Amino acid sequence: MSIPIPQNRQLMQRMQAGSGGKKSVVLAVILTLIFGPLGLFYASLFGGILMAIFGILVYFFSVQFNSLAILKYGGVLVYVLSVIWGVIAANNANQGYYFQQFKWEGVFKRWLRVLSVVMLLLVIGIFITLVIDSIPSIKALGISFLWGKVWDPVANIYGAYPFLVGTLLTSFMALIISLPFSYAIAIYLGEYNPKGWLSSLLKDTIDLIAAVPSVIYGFWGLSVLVPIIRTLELKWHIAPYGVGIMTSSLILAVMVIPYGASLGITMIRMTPSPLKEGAYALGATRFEVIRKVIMPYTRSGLFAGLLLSLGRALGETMAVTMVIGNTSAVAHAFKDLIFGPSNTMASVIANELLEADHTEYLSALIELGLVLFCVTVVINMIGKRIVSRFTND
Amino acid sequence: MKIIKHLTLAAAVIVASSGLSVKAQDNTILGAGSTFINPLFSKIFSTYTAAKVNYQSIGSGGGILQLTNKTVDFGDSDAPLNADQTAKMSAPVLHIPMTSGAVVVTYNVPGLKAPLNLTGKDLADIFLGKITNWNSAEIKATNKGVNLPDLPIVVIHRSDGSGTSFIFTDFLTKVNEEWAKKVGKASAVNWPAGLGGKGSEGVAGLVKQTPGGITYVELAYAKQNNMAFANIQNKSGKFIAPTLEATTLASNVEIPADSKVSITNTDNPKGYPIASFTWALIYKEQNYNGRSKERATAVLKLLWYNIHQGQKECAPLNYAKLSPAAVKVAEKILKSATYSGKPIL
Repeated sequence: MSIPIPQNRQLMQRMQAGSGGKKSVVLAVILTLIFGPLGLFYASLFGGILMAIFGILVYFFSVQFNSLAILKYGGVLVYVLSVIWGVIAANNANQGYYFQQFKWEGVFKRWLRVLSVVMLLLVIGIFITLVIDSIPSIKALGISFLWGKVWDPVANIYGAYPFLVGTLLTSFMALIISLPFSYAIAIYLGEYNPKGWLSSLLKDTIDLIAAVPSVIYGFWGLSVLVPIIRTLELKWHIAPYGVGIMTSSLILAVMVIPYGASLGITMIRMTPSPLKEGAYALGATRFEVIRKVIMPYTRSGLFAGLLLSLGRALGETMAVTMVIGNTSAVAHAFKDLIFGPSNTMASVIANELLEADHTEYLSALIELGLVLFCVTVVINMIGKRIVSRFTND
Repeated sequence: MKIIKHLTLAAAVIVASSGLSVKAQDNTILGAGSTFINPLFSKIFSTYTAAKVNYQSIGSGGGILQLTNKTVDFGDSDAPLNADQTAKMSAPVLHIPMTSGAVVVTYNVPGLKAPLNLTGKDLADIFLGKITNWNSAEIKATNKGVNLPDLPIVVIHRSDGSGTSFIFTDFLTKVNEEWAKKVGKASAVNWPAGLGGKGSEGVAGLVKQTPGGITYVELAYAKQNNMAFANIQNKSGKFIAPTLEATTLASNVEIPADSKVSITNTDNPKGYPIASFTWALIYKEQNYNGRSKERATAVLKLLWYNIHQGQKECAPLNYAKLSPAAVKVAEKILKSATYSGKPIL
């Protein structure tokens, strides 16, 4: 799709009228010669900022490595670049505003395309790397890697099943636990209390939950949540480990709430008021409006929020590894499956990758990463399908 | 397209300055590896005046990898290179013992006044999940007169790959056949029972919280955190308390010329049985990647300093000094390093 260039006569005139910014090349040279990057601000704001950053970098490197040479050569380089950039920028400014506009449209469009393609290549590259590095393990273990129940680095037997179960179980349990909270928050802040100090305080607090580093959740889980769960387990006559699937799911639930809630709030606030007012005019109560008008209208958005939450839960590493108990044994009893210790794929990789001391072991860990990658992609694709179906309704 | 040119120039600046920075670092000796030895190395290197040393404590496996890629001058590992790692190295590698460390067994059993006595076999059975209660007959047999509570044992092990786990499983493999057959020794194994905690602080935290918990940590860590630890029975049948002296004694045995020896379950009747060296690793032939002879000499002099004058920093930091036997072997190994085929020291 091409970017529309304004053809409107009036607009063109206005733009040309506003192009009075002629800049003196001589002045640009003098300023940059004296002030370096700071002098460049006259000719080009962007260039000035960039060069100033480089100047700071040069300073940083020279201090970091105790080297005067860096300061000397780097400083000269920054000055020379500033002068060249200054001349070019001042010259450009004199070439007329309208010409500039056309040129920038093209450059802008090209850059958008390049950066989008770079993202695509990056994802493909990650996938290819994972596949290549896991070839030794795929060759040795074949497809049975997926349902093997033993993870034994000494005997070189690797099976992803316990971690696959652990990952899916913690993520979906976290999603189910977080669901009522994130929907309640979304409806309250989106519909009942969309304005005012209390509303913005609550919203900011929820956004803050997402900004807290996960190791802090892990620490809180280990020192507060684990003892509580252990006491409960003693009461319910379950092996009182404290750590395990339930504890991780609770921590994860807290961590993913903001993802579902934030998107939900935005979507609910975007519901067109004519729709709501129409419903009220027909005699609907507030609850009925939420159920019959707002929920159907925002269904796909709320679901997308859930999907974001799930993505976060699937990949979460640090907080989970601190409270899940890290065992590769498969639980047999139902209560052990819910409360007992387990492990997730991300957690195993984080734990063992650094000290993986032979090829098959390393390769098996990377294959585990590949499985995690595929699980995430599949769940996302299913989610997208469901979102688009809801939207088409 | 002008902006692309601008950005290229900008990139050139960054590349140029980083290139300069590498040059500036040239005379610093680079090392990487074991986190266990990091506090000791930091102390020694800060007092060492002949050269600047930059040691990154990224774990034994990481240190070995960096030496394989020749990005560091020396690595440090808590376990000798295995066959796979040796094969990946492009040239022979020397192992030089730097210090020895002990792994202690720590537990949370309420009401105990004196340290427990544990045999290696029972310890392995506990970690196999076969002995499941603190008042079981096996534990009572070695702790006569101690009032052991009726409390289930909660086994806690390291979940991350670790040299500490290697030393511990190495010991269990030597003293319990079933352990050797079912589990074996490695920095990460398929633990038959219990919970995993990440890092020393992870397992220590779990044990503190869990009544009946048992785990293993380095001696230095246990001492700094005032944790209770057990006396372990050694090969001669004596229960030995983990002290720095007992750890040093564990390595005061006959050591092979390449020093790649496991000193767990030591023959020394006064030695503590769960101990191990940590080794600095260097290439035997020091002329590679265009390194100067001065650099090679500086590295060897540094390691020489470590095994002699550096040893006095051990005790205050809770590391066990190298035994005289170990120092002798280490000297020989250092003297065998060459530059273009000629000995350096």
